[in-house]
Amino acid sequence: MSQIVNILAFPPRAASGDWRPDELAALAHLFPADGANHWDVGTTEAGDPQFYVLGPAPDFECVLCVSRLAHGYVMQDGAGRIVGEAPSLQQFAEEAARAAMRGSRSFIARVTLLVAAVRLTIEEKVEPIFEETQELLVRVAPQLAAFV
Amino acid sequence: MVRSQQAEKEVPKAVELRKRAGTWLQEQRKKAGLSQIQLAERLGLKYYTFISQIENGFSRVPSDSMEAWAAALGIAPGVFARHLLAFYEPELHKLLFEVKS
Repeated sequence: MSQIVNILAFPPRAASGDWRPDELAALAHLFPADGANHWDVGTTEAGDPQFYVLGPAPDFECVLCVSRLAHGYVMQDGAGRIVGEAPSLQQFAEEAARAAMRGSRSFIARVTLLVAAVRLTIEEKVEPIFEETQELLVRVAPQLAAFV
Repeated sequence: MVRSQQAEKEVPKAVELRKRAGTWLQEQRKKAGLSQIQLAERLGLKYYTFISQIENGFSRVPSDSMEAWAAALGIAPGVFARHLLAFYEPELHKLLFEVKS
């Protein structure tokens, strides 16, 4: 197994309370902060955690909100419209990718989801190829070196 | 609410005003004796999470649902909308309602 593998592990859902570090890491990986986008977290009155994907400064208005409820994860856009629902973060990420393609929600939410979907696709499809290539290289390199 | 490392340290005016709107809405909801879940039910929402999204100051009450919110909270729609406008669009509120000196 390669040492540089970057697999996004989707943790099992916690019952209630704040985001667990592994859940937060998975969400922050899907929706990373950069110059234009930020994220923040909060909780509902009932103690269910929420992850807010925020738009650019100076307004930092919520463009997407991921909430963990008893039965799973819910994703809503900034106007409260349901963009996706899934029982696990893995399925949630897949749902996010599908929602990004549907294009029926607000433009900003769609773009944000599209970025997450592309990132997910790269991790699922492209990184294993790099990984296989590197493994092959590790196996073949000593044999090649023997010819030199 | 826990603040993450991502947002800028200086809180911009729009963010501050949205937070204040959220606090005011939370006060009105509690005054009406409703939980976030009960308010969501009255508004016909599938999930109550959007109420929290607004009360935590990350989103606004959509204009097309202000009347329903006002009814659920027992506030006159005009008063409710005008109060929120002061937070969401302070300049417009100033132009419309504040007396020029």
